[in-house]
Amino acid sequence: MIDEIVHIAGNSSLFGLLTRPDAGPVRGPILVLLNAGLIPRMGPFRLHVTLARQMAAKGNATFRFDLPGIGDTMLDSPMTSLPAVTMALDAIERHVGATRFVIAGLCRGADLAWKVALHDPRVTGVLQIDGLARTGLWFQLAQIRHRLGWPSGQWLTVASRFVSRQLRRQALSIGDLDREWPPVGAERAQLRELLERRVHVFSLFTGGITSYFLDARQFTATYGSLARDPRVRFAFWPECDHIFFSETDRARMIGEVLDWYSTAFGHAADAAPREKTSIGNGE
Amino acid sequence: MKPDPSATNEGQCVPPCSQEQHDGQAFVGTDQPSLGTSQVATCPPKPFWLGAPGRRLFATWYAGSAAPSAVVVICPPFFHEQFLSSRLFGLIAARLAQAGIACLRIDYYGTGDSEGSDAEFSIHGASEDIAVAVTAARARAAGAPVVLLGIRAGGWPAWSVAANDASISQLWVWQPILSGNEYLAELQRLDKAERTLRADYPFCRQLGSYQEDGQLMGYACPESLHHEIRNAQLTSHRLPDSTVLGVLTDHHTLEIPGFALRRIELPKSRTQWKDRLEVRATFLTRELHEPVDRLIAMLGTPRITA
Repeated sequence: MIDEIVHIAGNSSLFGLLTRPDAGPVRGPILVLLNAGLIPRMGPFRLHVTLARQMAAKGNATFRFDLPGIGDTMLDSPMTSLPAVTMALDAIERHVGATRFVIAGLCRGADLAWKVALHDPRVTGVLQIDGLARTGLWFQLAQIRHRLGWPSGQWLTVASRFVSRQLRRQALSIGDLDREWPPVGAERAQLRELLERRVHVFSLFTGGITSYFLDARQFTATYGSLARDPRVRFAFWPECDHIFFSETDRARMIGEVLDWYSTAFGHAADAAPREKTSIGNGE
Repeated sequence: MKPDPSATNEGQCVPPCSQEQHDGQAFVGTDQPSLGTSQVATCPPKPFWLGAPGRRLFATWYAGSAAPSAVVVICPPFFHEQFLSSRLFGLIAARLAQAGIACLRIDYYGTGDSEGSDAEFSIHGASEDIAVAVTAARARAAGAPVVLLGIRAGGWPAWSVAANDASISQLWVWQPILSGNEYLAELQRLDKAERTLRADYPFCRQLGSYQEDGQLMGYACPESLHHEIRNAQLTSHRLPDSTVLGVLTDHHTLEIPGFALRRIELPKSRTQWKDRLEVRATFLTRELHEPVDRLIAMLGTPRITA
């Protein structure tokens, strides 16, 4: 495997790391990993590094970088995230000749991945982990069902934990207010638009976003019948937390992504990256 | 895993920062949670690969256009503290670079973007990596005094390197950990708390203990590393007489028994970032400007413009 430094914009701090096989063509589109919230490009517990290396072992290339204001990327200019991702795709295209990309993100990164997919026709796949879902009836029912099952003492425990968490201002708690989602209902039209472009979508939800996702049926309720399209893959892992604290969960997630990649893009006649035209030497 | 061999450029000159960037500098090194502000970074980090094939390290170089008055090798902390503090020390490096002090940041082998898996990380290996970084820093900033800045447990390998290299002019430790035993106890307490936190989520599978899965704070901690940490002591080696020792920490731990040292006190509110998995806790806020600027002054440069 080869790790290359790819500069996104000249004389700026915008750069990323392209991990790819050291021999043979890169199969399929390039996977671009966005920051999970404010966590640097290596991902929580090095998740993105491990994923990139396992992708390379399967013949795929992965690019990870820091958005403006996160990790190593200084605020060189008043640039927002979306144009920064576009510049990153341009840079990878210049560097290896790839013209197809899969954008992946967790939490707010998932929201951005969705936006990029809508914005950039080069995107052929979206992986959103703990992305958009509306609460609605299934969520409310799941809440009631769950709370009815609580023993009396648990009400007190949960209430005290809630108060404690508020006092400690737990940053990893998730709430709708922290997300940039389109108006209710817009996601259906957006999914239709993506599917008409033959974009593959993989939505994975964990058990760490109980503030808005508790029931697998919320996914179909959110996206409508298009959620059952063959190009849409959905998984709900309630036993897994939001940032994949457990190595077991990280390994499972990576295995699932590799399987999706193989299924969705494995037989695609994607143009292999051309011979390197420049060397990512970091200077 | 091997980075592109031709991508290595140790010792190569760094393109100067443009004057426009310097002129546009208003809040260098200040961090804000929102994007899209008018902040301008003066000396963008220059990434490169460092070290021998098979043990390539990811490194970033921060320097202004003039010859630096000193060069600081930043030795990161371990486990979750590495990714939590990554941006903070990137911004501090940028601030130092603006003041004429070059900085070299590295990811140890088996951490960050460097080669190797988590399980391959060791304190002994980190010492070797720092020694490699010192050589690279000297090559890039010929003639400038070399300083080591060890953060938390990163102070252990930094101290070890300084003890064996009399040409290291200063060793600074940021929130040092004196005893490996204490650190292990702290890690295990935090690890248990993180695992317990899953109980707040009704469906999350409860995780076993470190003894069951060998993971500490989400990272592999094999027995060999556990043993190294348990036996680690910050002051296990004597420092050369010529090496200046300094400490940045809160007022509780401003002494290192048996050593004369320079002290810079950090605001207590900015020393708790290590206690929770919250990246936001490590922003370089204005509260940290004063201690960082004092560090700059003690490293021997009067130039700071922000």
